Amino acid sequence: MMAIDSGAASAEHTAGQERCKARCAGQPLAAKAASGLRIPADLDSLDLVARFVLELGRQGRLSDSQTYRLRLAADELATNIVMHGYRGASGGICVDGGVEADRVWVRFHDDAPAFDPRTGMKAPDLEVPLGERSVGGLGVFLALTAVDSFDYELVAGRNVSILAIHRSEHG
Amino acid sequence: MTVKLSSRTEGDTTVVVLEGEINSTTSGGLQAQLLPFVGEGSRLLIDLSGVSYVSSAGLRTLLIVHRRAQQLRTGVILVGLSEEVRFVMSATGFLDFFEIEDDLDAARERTGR
Repeated sequence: MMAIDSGAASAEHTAGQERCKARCAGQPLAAKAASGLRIPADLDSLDLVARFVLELGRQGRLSDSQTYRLRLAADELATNIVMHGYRGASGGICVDGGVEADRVWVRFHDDAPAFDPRTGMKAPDLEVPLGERSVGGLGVFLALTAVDSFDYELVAGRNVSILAIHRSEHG
Repeated sequence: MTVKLSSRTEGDTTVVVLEGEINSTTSGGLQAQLLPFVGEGSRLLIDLSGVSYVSSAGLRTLLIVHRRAQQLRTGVILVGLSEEVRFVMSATGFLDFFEIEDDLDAARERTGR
């Protein structure tokens, strides 16, 4: 199929992709996006995130375990944005997501100070007895561990994180 | 989303049964309810089979319970961990620090020895 594509058709295809990307703010072309939500940055709003992700997992026919991991990562990241990003200041978090052939993804936008969870997290020292461990800091580690891919970008001063679970072929 | 707690005494063991979800909105209240059960002259057994979700906030609660139990030189046994809760505890190294039994019967058997 690739071979019969003329150069002109390819160019047109690429242009179409670019238009879509611009319209959807970087959303992958193949995504069937669920309409997103915007929540105030407080703990009471996190149930909305959980509900959104559970519904996405259902739409993407993820297993219970996969849905749990995606929800856990989303919950931990959102909690971190509320507690350590905005630190009690008022602000908003935009959440959207989608189902693609090979993955289900959830994306967070926030305007808290720039924070890359991938480099900012500290893995727990598993050798240290529990009684001597610090009480916090596990959330971002869990978020990164739970999902199959975790991407982060600072876009025009906003934190953008995309969490994804790979769908199995029969999923 | 909520978490409910009920308790009973079985011999020298206090059994606390939790139901619901332990996350950043429910963990604070749960911790306050749970701590008084640690060390009332007995071991504490926490039945998590009705808990469908635990986030790091829930782990924090378990950590605080664990510390209190250590101070009071008593034990905490967890039973009824779902595959997912086990994943959360295993990834963070929590599994090794608690006595874990599959269910209440297994824990009773162990107590009886």
